[in-house]
Amino acid sequence: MQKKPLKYDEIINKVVKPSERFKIISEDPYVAEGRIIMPYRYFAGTVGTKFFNKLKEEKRIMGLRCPDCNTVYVPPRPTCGRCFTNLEEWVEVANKGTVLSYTATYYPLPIHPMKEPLVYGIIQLDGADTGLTHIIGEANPSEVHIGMRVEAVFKEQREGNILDIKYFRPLGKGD
Amino acid sequence: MSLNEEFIELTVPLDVRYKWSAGPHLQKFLLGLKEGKMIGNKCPKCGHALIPPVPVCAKCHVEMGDFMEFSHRGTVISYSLVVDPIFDSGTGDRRPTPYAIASINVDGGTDATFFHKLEETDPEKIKIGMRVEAVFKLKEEREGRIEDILFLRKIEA
Repeated sequence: MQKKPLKYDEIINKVVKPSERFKIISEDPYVAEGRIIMPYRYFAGTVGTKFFNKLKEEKRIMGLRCPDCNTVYVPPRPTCGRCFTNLEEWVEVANKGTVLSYTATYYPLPIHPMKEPLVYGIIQLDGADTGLTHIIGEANPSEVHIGMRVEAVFKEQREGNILDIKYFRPLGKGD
Repeated sequence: MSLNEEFIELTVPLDVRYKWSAGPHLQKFLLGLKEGKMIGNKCPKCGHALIPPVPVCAKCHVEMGDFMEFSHRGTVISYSLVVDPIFDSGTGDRRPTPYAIASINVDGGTDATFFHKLEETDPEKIKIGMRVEAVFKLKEEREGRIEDILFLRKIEA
């Protein structure tokens, strides 16, 4: 069920008409609506590829441990932020953890993956020393609190990106 | 990790929708372009002139004087030659290269500068100090945007 990726020319020239790129909607006050659409290529890299492939294929969340300071990074990164040592030791971390911080967004934006109010959180998974930013779902903003225990809910159809985890929900819900 | 492993790569367009208000000064400039005018303003204290106009003098921070019209002609004081065919977010196509963006000192005895594209694309023929004139679109084609000026055309001294 993979969508065939469009080539740049097709996306940019055919999907977005020139009139959509900059349209003056009022002269006084002068207001214009526009759309900046540019080709973009994202590379997950060696570390990103392994992290996303594990999410997709095995529903496992992986981190990297620094041999010098023992910090376990989730999401993983190729170099230790403290020691600058190259990280090579992959460790699995739990799919549950603790909310370190969160923000509830009430206004709507087309890019939001879920309906508002959308709660984002930084979650320290058990076994990790860093926080993972993700969505906290199945919870009212008023329920969410620092220290709340959450667990990952995986998507059925995973593609190899961070939204293979649909969101984190309060521990114990849905059982 | 062997290098034969397939790496995750995404080809997606960045698509940023925006809504922009010009503000009273830029509005005056943009609507002025529609009428074929180059609008700017001048500092009453130090004489520093800016096109497009601004509310406060960049040099001495006092409130700028009233809007005024400037000449369409000027002298090239600096330019950049663009050789990399970047995608033009306005058209979706790559810009034909090379092309030059110049800063010109507008005629009229002030330090007013203006930026736009040069008509001339041959680097050998672009010189600091060369005289240019803003070429506007036909009146009925102007909309009140910077593209109402097509480019800066070389003129005889």
